[in-house]
Amino acid sequence: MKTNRLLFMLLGAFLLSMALVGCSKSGQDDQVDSTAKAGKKSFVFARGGDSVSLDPSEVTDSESENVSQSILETLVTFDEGKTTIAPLLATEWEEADNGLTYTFKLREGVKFQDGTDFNAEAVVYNFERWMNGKDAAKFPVYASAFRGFKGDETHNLQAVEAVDANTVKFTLKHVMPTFLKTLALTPFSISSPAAIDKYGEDYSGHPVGTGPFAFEEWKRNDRIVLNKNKEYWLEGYPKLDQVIFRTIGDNTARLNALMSGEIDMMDGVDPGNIQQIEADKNLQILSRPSLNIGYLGLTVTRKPFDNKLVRQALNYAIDKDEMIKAFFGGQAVAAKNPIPPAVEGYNDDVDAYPYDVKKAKELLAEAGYPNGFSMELWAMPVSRPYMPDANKVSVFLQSSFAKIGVKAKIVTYEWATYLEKTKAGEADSFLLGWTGANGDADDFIYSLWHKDNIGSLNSTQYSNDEVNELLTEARSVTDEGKRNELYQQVQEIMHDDAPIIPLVHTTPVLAARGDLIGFDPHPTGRVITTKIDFK
Amino acid sequence: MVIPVLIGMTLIVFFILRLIPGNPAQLILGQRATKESLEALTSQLGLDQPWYIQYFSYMKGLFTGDIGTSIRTGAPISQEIWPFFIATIELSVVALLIAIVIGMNAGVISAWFQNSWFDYTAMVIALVGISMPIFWLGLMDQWFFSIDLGWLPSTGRENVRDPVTPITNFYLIDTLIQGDFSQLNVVVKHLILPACALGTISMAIIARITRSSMLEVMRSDYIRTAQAKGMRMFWVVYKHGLKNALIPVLTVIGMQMGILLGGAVLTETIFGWPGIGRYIYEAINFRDYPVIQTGILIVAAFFVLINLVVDLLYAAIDPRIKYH
Repeated sequence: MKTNRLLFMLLGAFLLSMALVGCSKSGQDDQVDSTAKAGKKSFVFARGGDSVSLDPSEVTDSESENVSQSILETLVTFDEGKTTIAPLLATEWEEADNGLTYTFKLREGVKFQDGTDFNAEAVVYNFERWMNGKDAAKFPVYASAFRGFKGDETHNLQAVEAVDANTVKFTLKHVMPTFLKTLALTPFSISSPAAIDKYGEDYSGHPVGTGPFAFEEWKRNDRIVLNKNKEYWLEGYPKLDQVIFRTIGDNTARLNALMSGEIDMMDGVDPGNIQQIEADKNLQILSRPSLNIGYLGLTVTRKPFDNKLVRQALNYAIDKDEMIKAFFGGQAVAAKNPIPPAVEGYNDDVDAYPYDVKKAKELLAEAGYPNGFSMELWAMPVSRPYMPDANKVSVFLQSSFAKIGVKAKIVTYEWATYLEKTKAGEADSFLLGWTGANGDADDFIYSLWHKDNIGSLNSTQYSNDEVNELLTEARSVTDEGKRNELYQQVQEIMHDDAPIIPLVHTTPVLAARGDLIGFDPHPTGRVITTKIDFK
Repeated sequence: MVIPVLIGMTLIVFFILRLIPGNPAQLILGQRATKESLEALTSQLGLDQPWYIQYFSYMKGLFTGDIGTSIRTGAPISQEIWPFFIATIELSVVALLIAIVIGMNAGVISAWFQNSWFDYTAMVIALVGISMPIFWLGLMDQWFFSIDLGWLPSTGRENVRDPVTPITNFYLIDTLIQGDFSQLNVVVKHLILPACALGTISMAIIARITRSSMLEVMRSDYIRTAQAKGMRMFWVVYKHGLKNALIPVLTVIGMQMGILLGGAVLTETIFGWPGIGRYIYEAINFRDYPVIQTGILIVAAFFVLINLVVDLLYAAIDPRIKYH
């Protein structure tokens, strides 16, 4: 009996110590985090990965750009919710000499966050810094947009001059129809020349621009803190006092943090969680219009994909609606063209390949494969906005192809190797996709399907002379209507050639507190904080 | 011994890293990388050099006190790594303390009342604890304690809207030095969930080892003598028994500290803890060789150090062990 009493006493002590260690202070009912600490209106945005650099001109990843957009601004920008051009640091502009010169009138009275003036000299300083970069690794977006650096034969930017304090003139060597859209890209944000001189190599950790929020602190892999720019030029904005970008790697953990009120908005919502968020009245779902394409590439130089009939047959074999319902949480539309509908020049007259197993079998028989064939189907090892779960999609495609007698073996490599091997044309068929940067058809079609990009980005090794000519022509025309016609023709030819099976245009989803207003879920994937507020 | 072990470490890590497929330049530039930019970046990073030149320039750096620069962010590792390392130490130490206090007591009591219902229950729980996937446990903890009950924050080390001012980067110590008890409260609350999740497996292992070690000791003659003298059972168990059963337990605890330190990656990812595990993990994703090499080297050095401390503690506990 005595032993038992002692056992109970010890157990009691044990439980008590457990309670003390495990749950100390947990009984307090004070709010864990409060939005308005010391009357400050702060906004916390959480994402899966940290920024690489805060100087957007030297990076290509969206996690870096999305923070820079609050600190730095470009000359022109995109309209809310669209990919048409709107003024930002430049108030108006004029195109002359058949598209070889552009003259911008700059917004007057704007100051950088370090107190220096924003003017034509500052713009010239930034462009000269980039064009003298001489190193494709240093300013990669500049190098690809203007085809090299000053002194290179292909370099397309002849000169950038300050006409007067608030006027800048750009002179191009060749016509560049995407010039304005290019200047709207985050890597072309204007930094304070004084800050670039002051910090030198360390500038990427101390960005200074004209944006609504000024850089305060960066704790790598944890958070980036920005404070309100009190001198911001747009009257009455920004509404927030502080913006914090947090890194929380796991999608579910990020959602947990949103539900417990520690963060106010998150990206990278798992399709499986959308219903749960919609049912929560404290939360809201924000969908971006789609600006991407997820596809199955068919390497046209490999047998049997060198046969157009085979490629078409595979196109008939897939029930895209079923796939979207099952693996994209409904947050996608079926694709029929290599560009998304939001892009100007999209050809809606193209008839999508219907789901038709019988037709697919007929085409295979006609091509000389009545009993089908075996092939490799490569699935990406990573999740991308255009393809959140490549593994499941590949299994779906495998079973679809099996119905027409095509045996697909699923293969995967780690990401860098995957990209290298697909570029080299080593895959029979591969899942991949593209997210448009500037919302222009050229960025999708020329980059991925022109013969000049074979070995680089044209992984299907597709080359059609007519397409090549049309795409090259579209690069020399500045008339939007004419350009759109050319791209529409390209889409018709590509539909018939079928170098890919266009699968989906996904609508990336964000989740936020229910009382958050003023956020523009822009198709380019930007995080624009200027007008965000709480009800 | 320490120096050769660490040099061996650098060699192994260096070569294993280069066996992983994937060009860092491709991963840094992403899908939009062109041939030219890839080549330019590869040569800028020195990755087109033969391996022995890369290794020697790395070693030369180490011996001159330069632990390298991240090839992805361009930031010097020495500047970034300490806050991460300390964050992980703080988390691991608290996790280990929880594991020791609960695990050892559970083990001792189980051995004391061998085959009682407490023994069975504790050992079943320990078995479950060993088999519990941390990520699942972590997410369930978040769901229950943060969302359902709203008691504890689910992620991070501090309230980011009102952060701690770091001095040593041990936030428990920093807030104490500053005498800011409301911040200390916040910091403790942030620690509880990740530390409990991280400590679960160690707790279970410590409980099982303590129990088996105690069972052996409790059968020895001197224990029976102590009981025969009429000494209270509590003192027999905790003073005479535990002290002699402690050597294997201490070995396991030392190893657990190393495992916690290196194995905190999952916990850190789920709880958004800015620690060294995640720092290295992110670097592996981008093949950021210098960061991975240095990060692993620091963790390894710390592991070696802990083993040394454990060896010294043996002597303190057991007078029969002496070092010459």
